[in-house]
Amino acid sequence: MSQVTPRPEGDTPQDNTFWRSSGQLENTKEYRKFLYKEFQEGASVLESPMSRRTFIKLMGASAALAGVSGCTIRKQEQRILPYAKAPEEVIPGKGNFYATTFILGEEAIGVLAESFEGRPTKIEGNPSHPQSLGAAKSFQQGSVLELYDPDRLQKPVLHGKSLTPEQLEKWLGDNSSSLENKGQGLAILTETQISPTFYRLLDLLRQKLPSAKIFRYDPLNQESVYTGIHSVTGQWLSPYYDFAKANIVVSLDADFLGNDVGSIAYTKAFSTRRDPQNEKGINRLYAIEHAATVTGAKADHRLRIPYFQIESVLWALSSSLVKKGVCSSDQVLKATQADVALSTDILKVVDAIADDLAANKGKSILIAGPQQPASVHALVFLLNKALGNITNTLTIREINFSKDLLIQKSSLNSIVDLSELLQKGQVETLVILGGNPVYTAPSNLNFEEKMAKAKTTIHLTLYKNETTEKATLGIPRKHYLESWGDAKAIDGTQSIVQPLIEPIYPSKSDAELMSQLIGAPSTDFELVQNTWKSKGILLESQWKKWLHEGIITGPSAGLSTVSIKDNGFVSAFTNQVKASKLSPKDAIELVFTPSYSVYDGRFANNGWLQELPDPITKLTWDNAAIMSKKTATKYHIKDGDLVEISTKKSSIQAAVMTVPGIADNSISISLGYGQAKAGRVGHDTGFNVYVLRTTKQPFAFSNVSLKKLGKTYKLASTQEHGSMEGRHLIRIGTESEYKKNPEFAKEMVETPPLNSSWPEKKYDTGNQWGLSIDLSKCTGCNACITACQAENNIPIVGKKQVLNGREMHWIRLDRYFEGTEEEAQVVHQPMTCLQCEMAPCEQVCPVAATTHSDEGLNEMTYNRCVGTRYCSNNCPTKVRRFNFFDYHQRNPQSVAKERKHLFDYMREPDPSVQRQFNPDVTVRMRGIMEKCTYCIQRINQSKISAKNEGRDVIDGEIKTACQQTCPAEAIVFGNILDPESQVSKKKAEARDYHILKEWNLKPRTSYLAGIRNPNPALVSTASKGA
Amino acid sequence: MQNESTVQRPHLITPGINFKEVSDIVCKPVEDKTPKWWFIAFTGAVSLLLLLLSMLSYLIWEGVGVWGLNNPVAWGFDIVNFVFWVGIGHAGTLISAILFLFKQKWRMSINRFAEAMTIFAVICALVFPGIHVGRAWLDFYLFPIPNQMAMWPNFRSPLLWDVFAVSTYFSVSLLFWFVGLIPDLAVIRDRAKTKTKKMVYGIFALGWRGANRHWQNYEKAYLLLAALATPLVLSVHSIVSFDFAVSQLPGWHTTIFPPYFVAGAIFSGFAMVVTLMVLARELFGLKDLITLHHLECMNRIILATGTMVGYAYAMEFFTAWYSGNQYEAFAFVNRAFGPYAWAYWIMISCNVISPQLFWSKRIRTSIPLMFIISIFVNIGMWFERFVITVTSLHADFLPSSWAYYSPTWVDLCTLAGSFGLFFTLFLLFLKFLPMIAISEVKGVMPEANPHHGEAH
Repeated sequence: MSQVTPRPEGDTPQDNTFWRSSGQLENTKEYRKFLYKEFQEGASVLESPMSRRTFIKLMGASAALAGVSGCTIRKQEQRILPYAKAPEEVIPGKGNFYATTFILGEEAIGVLAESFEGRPTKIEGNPSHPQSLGAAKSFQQGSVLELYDPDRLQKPVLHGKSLTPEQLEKWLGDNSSSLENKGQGLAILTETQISPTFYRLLDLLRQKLPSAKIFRYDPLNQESVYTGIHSVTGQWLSPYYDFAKANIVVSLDADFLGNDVGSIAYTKAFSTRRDPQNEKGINRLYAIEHAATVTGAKADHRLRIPYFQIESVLWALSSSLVKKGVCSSDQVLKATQADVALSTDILKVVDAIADDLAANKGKSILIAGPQQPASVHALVFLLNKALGNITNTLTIREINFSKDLLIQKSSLNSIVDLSELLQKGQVETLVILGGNPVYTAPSNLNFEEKMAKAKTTIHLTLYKNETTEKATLGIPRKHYLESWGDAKAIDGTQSIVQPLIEPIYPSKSDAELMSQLIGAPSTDFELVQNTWKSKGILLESQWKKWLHEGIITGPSAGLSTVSIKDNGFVSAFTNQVKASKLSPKDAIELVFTPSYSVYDGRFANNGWLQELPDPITKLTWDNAAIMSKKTATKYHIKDGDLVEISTKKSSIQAAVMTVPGIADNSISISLGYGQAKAGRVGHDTGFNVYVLRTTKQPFAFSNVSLKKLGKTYKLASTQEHGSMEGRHLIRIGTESEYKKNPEFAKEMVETPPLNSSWPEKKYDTGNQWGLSIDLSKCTGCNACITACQAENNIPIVGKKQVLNGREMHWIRLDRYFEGTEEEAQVVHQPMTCLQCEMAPCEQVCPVAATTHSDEGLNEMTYNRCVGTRYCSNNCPTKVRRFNFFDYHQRNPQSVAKERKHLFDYMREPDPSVQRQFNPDVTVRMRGIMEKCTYCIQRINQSKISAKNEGRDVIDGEIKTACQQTCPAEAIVFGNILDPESQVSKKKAEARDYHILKEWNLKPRTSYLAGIRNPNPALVSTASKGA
Repeated sequence: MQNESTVQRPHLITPGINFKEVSDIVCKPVEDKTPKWWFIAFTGAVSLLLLLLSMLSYLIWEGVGVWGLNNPVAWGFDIVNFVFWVGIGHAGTLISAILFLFKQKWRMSINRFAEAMTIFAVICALVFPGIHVGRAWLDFYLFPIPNQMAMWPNFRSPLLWDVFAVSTYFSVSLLFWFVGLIPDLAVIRDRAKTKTKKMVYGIFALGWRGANRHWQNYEKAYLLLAALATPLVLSVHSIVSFDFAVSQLPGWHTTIFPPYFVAGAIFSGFAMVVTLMVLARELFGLKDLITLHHLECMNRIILATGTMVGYAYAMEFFTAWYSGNQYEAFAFVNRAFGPYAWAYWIMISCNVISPQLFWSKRIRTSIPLMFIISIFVNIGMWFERFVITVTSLHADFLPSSWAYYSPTWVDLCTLAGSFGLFFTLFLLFLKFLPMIAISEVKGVMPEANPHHGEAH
């Protein structure tokens, strides 16, 4: 362990281990006298002329004194002590990787955490975990910042007063009356758990405390999928899709490339089929959605349909399939044929989809979003079945732990039951494991009031949130990087959660608290080991293997057949279908969506995620009421206007943002913002929409009223302009265009002869680094931005500075809209320093702070930079980022610097947050220009180890942070001189093109043109839209 | 010569004034009791100067972020003010050096004044390159100072050329101005009534006795300095324009910039001279020495250079269209019709339209009108730099990075403060130094002609 210790005040003369003068070693009287006497002999006595002897004495004394007195003007030295006994694998300055598992709801993503001398700094995907395959998204990347968040609950709080761990244990012991009573009056509310250990403990708890009641609640969940499928099969089943096998994908309000469960693995598989060179050919995605999602942005045909009409489109699709005889034998489908009033344009597309599906039986996927009602999922399941997709492109498994009644009851019903119980006063002690039900529970439950009816409420939580505030006792919860655990992913993969660091605060994991409730307190390590011992498969050697690989068992096998219940669909949904058709024609609907930044609100205090621009709106630090321009104009609303959105029961205020391509009369607004108790980073961000949600309408209202308030609100978006202005920056062609002329992208721009007026430097030896970004694969999911931020110590700047246009992200995702305002299609382009060989920035820097390396990198010498910003002005892609302020100091979590130095009046990042910093990357001060350098620290690390091993750098050995985390594998880095390297092969593809080629920049980053695969039958419609 | 009898050249100063009167008029402000208005004006100017100092302290304390700059617009008021002040600083040396070499005798009454203005304007300009950087305490990196890294600055950067060009210009202008001052300082020394004054002016007069040898050396030095300063007048603003022209940003990358900047600089410099001169001749009673003829001459130059600037504006559009380059074309259309169109049209109306009024002799010779127009030109030229700097940057190649720039209160106060610095120095100059070159004016009086008083 490295340790920073303050300098000792003064050595004791007895301590002779280290000595700095012979006087000290001998511990002479003179030395001691000198040590404790402020004014040394002769120091202020100048009457007598100084003898040679006195002079020498004084010299010696002052030399020794210099060490004792310490420094006042120069920085005080800090000592890093070496390990007394060094752990074998820890080499200071070298990162180690440990496998663990990130858990979010039902999702378990295997990750590798990089650790420097015991402090995790960066999360990467775990290549051997099938839910990650080496990739990670922003939530995983951001979780390391969450670990170090100084706003976490640090001590147990009882009625608002902090307790010591001992006091907590005593209190828990004193208040365990319910335990003696077989759990009478004890209720436990948990988030959806996917840990086998938890369910083992739950069984134990039920045995020990049979009267205790268990409930669960998650504001965002998969339950409508499960209930839908349950209604037609009678079984608790979960679908898992294989997008690599599907030629045709029809997405109904699903965001399988974005926020839906499984999105990383889905994106991996989906993107393999966006490569026109894939042997199975490029796939075709139809997206039918009300809002704009990253999935919709990737679609070949996108239909904007209000949330409540998506079901009608599905009806139309099923009846079209029946008409075409695809599903003729299926009696269930016949029963569901309802008349639907849709425009002929839409019906034409639906018909084309049906044709496509009919032609690709067993090779297609229908997928619906978890926010859609169960009836949609039931029908989607039936259609997938009828199309022969099940077992081909769909794996059907039993839902994890679905034998447990806790899972069979939906989380919404579960919390309704709990609040009834609370209402009746039957709960004496309520234990809440994680979550924030006071904030997230449906508003009609009045959970906050009901919670107060329990005598004691205990909240195990990472943050002190609204629920903790109202609870009797708040206990700090362990972060996943601090705890032992296990998890079962949706595909059945089981993996280990392994701590990277001792708990920073005295905290408990869910399992530990459960074991305490059972009355057998134990550590989470023992609990996890016991789980696997009880399954009879834990051997010491296996345990090590599990820890090493991060997984226990791979994906479980799917069911080979699924039987459909007769008439199950009709009996379950006939009434509902009728009801949904009753909404008035011009009614404005309101839909709640998960946030790409804070998910359901749990990441609200994470600066990286708060400042992460929404992939579509590019909005940071806020959510907004997203609507189409037409809808806004109808109400005379402009961007940034505050409106009041009212349902029958309650209303909220929100700022409006108009986005092209949104369904008319539809407002979508993301969850998770507007938290009253969110910590210093997340407070005062956005609008709380949970207050509108009810148990009946958890995701959408079909008819809300909208009122302009006459006030405005500043929304901080990182991109103001959405049109490409006819410039060929993102080049996209259709598959047929590509087949006709594979070089279409190169030929889009005609350039004059690109000759320089001076001899150009030839970069023809050694490693010449280059990057290729495949626009056909990139989904715009933002993972690269957070990965880069974590890797390169990039500060957050805050909403005000984003409004000023000063965000610091080294890689950004340029978003443009194509087509008309109504039928706009979103396109994305990751943009970072292009590492131009003829870099305009280098030429104009007066102090040569940015120069070119022999390996073709455009490097920044931070120490040399004076900050003229001329380089940024001359950069055609404006990828340079300037530290207008010291953003680390301005972070709301910064602390006053310890005064060790005359000029230390400043602030610095919280010591806890400092531990996240990547030691290989300089933390920049204000006044300095910075930018991407292809993760030069990673390049050098690999070069050093290659040199030590006497070999060349192997292709693929160096991965830039953005490349490593990219779930779409759109980014490839390597040596462009090696014709066999992956990047050379990418750059040799016909689709490869350089942006702004006519400027003769000779960039090292090139793009592969995006390829779309529109249905030829719809091309006229598509060209109208695109 | 034959012409002389037929064409009457206008008098350079009001006839009937003798040598002594010239000395009296010029020395009066230096010798008399300081007028009340001077103190009022000086208080105002010093307050603004203090504002500048506090803004700069705040800037260096807090960071460049206190300005309104953002990611595409990395240069804003800082560079606009710099170029504006360098431009103003053009008239002086032009009047002193180039008009001297061309033997334009009307320059004699105004050159001292204009040169002083030049020096002070360049001082104002020099403030900005130093403080606009992110880490002002490392400014010395810009100079080729031997260092432990054995590292030179980047000589390919126009910003570095700028450092040399402006500092050379400043030192030569200062020297030129001082050399011109020597005989006049001696005059004040000789007329001084107090010992301190005698001593102080005596030191700066460098022992000038008006000997023949002194005059010979003086004339030679003055001529040489004029010859040295002349190319600098042209080079300094050419090089300032290289800051823009050498980059590859549409709207900046234009070969027309050097001549266009020089014309613009002369334009703005003359306008500033007119603004100040009109006030000074009124306040100090210098109407006999600075006649309407002088002002008219300057207005003609304003008209000429204003027209050149207007031509350059038009030519830029033509080039943008003719180049067939969509980025270039967009930059100019965006300039005139984009979000900053307001700034563009302020610039056009002030710089192109307003000086055209000087075609009329009535306007050219009307003191109030020329004062107003000269102010307009000053405003217009500030906006020209704003238009060039900001509108080109705010929307360049990738629409994704486009953003609107607006100044903050710190930007505005810094601009106001730079006027404080200028006027503080200028008021001190008016108070302590002869604002008209006594010896030179005497040299162009009819009495100075050796043949004066002789019959033909």
